[in-house]
Amino acid sequence: MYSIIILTVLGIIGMLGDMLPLKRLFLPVTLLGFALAWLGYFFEFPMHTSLFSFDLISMCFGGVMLVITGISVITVYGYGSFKHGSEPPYTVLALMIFATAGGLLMVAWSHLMMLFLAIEILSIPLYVLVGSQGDRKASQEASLKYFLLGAVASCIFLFGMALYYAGTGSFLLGAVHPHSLVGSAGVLLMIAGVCFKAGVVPFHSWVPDVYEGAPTVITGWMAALVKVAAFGALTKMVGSLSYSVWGLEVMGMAVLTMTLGNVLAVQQGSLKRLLAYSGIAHAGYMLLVFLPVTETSITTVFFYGASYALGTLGVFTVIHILEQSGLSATVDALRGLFKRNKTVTLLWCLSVLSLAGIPPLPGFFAKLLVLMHVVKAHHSGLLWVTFLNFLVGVYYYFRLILYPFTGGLSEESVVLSVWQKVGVVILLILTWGAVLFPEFLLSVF
Amino acid sequence: MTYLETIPSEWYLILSAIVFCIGLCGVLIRRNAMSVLMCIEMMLNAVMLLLVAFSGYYRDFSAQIAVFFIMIVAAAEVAVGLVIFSMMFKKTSSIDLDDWGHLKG
Amino acid sequence: MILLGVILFPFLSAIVSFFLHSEKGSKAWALLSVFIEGFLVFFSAYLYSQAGYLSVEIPWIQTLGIHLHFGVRGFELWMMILSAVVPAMAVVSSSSKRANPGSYYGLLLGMQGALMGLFACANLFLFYIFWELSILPSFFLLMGWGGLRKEKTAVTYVVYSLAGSFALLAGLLYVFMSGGQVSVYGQMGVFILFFIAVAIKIPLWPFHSWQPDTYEQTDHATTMMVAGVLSKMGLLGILKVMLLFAPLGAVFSSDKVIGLAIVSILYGSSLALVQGHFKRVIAYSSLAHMGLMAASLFSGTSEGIQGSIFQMGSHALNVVGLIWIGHIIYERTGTLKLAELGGIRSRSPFLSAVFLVVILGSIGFPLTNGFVGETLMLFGLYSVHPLFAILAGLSLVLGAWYMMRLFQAVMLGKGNSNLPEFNLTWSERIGLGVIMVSIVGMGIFPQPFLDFVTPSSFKESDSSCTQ
Repeated sequence: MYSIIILTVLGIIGMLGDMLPLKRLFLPVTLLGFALAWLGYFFEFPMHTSLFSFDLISMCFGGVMLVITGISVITVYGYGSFKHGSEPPYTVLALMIFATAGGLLMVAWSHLMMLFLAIEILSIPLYVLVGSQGDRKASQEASLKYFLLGAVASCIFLFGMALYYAGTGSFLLGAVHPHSLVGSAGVLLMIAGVCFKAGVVPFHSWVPDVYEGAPTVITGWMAALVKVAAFGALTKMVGSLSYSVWGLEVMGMAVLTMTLGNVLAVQQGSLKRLLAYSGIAHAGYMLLVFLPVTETSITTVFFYGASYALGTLGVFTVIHILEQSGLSATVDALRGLFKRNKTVTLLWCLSVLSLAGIPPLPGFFAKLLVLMHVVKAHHSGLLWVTFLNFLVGVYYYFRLILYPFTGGLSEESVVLSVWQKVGVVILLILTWGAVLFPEFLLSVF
Repeated sequence: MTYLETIPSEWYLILSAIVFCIGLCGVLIRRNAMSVLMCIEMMLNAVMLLLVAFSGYYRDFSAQIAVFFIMIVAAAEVAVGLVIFSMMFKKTSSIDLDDWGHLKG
Repeated sequence: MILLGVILFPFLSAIVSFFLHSEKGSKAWALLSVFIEGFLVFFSAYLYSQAGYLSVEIPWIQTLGIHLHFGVRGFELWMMILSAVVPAMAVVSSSSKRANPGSYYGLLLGMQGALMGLFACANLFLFYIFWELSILPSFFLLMGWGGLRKEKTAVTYVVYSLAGSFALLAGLLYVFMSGGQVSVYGQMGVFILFFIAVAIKIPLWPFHSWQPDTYEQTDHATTMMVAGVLSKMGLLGILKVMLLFAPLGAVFSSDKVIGLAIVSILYGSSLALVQGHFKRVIAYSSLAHMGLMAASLFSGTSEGIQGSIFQMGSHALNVVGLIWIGHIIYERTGTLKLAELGGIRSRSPFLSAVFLVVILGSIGFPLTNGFVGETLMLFGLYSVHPLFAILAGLSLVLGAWYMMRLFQAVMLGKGNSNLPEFNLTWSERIGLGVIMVSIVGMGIFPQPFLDFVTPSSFKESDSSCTQ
């Protein structure tokens, strides 16, 4: 509970940011608060009440989310002061912190009502943040689409919850086995609601539009945070539900998701849309981990989520830097990046290679874990489908690796603000850390 | 025997399912943003109806408390939604969703 | 522990090299690094000769049961010596101005580290990691410092390489799924998958079409690495993985594989005859030589395997020598097209002499290193089927033909009348001298080198024959 309280207080401080004295202390206080929020888990660990359960899952997934937001807060803070030469965007930062509180709740619930509240606490700030570039029409349109579809998804989740309640008389998953048709339908609708957040086909249609429309700093943070939070919530859900209720549907969704995501990503010319579709494909790989749920599932989904978050943050940080240098976020904008800034190119290559699953980057171990899970489950058909999908993924990711080394549209070197440099260096260190010590993340469960 | 329990619980289930589906169809069909928002509210009402009905059936208050939470969240959501609509109206003087379909691919 | 040092040291010095900017400083650092690495490798060779086997095992990812497990036998050590010597030559031979020299040498050193790891690794997981890891630096080297058509070439290269490594991954997954006990049909499948991977890397006809362009478009140091060491990865894959995990596949299909290899010998030799570019001649001649080595690895005889391993070293030496000479000519004249060259012998008799020795070594002239390897390999092939030996033997004849044609076109004739002076620098003189002496030395005293590779190759041939 401490972590949620600390984040809420930080969010309120951020809301008042413009009026408070000692503004210079805002960033250190926020980062310190994040560290304290994570330490907060240790003071009450493990805590199980009828509404919350702060266990190992919430601690680890929560830690990843705090790191994601911490890095993004640094870059967003720098973005504001760099671009306008004025105040950092305190309101944006506050909304990011609130959404993170929602994300932490999404992996710390034990009562379905809390899960619903967590999803909404995560989503409502996101609707605003996606539309926070009021002068860009695309941003507003993305916000509108995200809001409408997200609201419908929330309704579907709620209806599922109500049906589950009607079938079992309880808001606790796993307390009562849903034998009835109504209860099973409720379970499926709830999974659909969470899958919407994760961007799983057939609930994916918002993903490319929102990724493209949202301000780029927000896109990367959102992509990483929401994916980790949604899969953390799914891990908690499916573990306590009977496989026969949802197994077949989730398998179908997984196959559709990775195939459609990869196939559509191949054709994209816009970087953000390409990464959106590839993010959909990654959601498909992560769903495979629940078929069926075994003792390695949590480890796999956690490691996959962490490595995906790291890669995505890196990639979007670079896209944001490119946009600042005056280019639009198309694949062609990457041309000549190597000549313009080597450190940024290094971050770009490492992140993309990690997403593509090239050894020894963390994304490779994540994909290996998924493959091993599928192998152990003896779905040989599924294994080959996954394998082919990895192949397609490598194809379009390598296109992205190629472009920075070709002749460029612009020759002037890319200049980073101080906070962006800090963000880039942190991401590089984390990537290399995950290469050298994957055991640290793999052995927690 | 309260008044609620004279009606079989399945009827509530069917009624709320029908209301929910009407709301969902409305979201998919209507092109006016306001109407879409109202359809979303209708879906939420279906959920609340279901929860209240079965709260009586199970003699359990937790569902009624849940309904309060849903109301609050719905209010917050509508607030955000209306802001987004007004921003959009300022830009194009229209709240027709068909005017807002430029992101494709 | 020394093995771990051998593998990690190039990576660490590569990281340092990325931060260097000046041409001189980065070259000095790279030189220092390759010489220290060479010392480490030779020291581990000494330790190996004392102990007979070197290995190190450190837990890395215990959750998955993955260990950093390295162990070398004779032929692996032989390959490691190769990948210590070739990068040293590549660095010494680099004299021209390059953009971003620090990154260039860093990638070169990174590639050396990946190759060391691949040759020394003792489990399949590490094998796959280093296999994949070796692709990246070569891709970046091609992309960053290649010729005019580098983009298209790099795409072709990477598509081929990744297709190969995915075939490898599929095979390894199959082995993993069946828990090491692969059924007979399974072994056939795994054999085909592994064969695709190694045939692309070696390369063998019909998987070779990335190779001539890559040789032509890469910077000379990169070409040295690709031709000298990277292509040997495929042969090592045959010895280390294919024969071990799909021995039945090897027994059933060795004839077909030898057939394919002989096709690539004849194809490479005949195309080398008509090429108009120095580096493309080398590329096609490499295709032929690598085909012969692959064929005799599958002969299953101890002579064939021993000869092939010996030839891996001598081919690397010869091809590095040829590329170096090509680079020297290119630096002076600005072209490598055969039609525009000629008459260099009169300008630099020393270069011409070295060129002749390298060519003799490369065509397998007696008393050079090529002779020893090729004779042993032909013996091996003869014992499988005389026809194989006869067809493969044609490569010697054709080789003599195209190499002499190359010599004639570059060194003899009137050529360009306004040729510049060919003042060789001291590092070039010493480097080429070392190559010349080792070509002749390995030809006259092959026994120490053969001893070096004998026990291990017997072990491997046993495992391929017993099934």
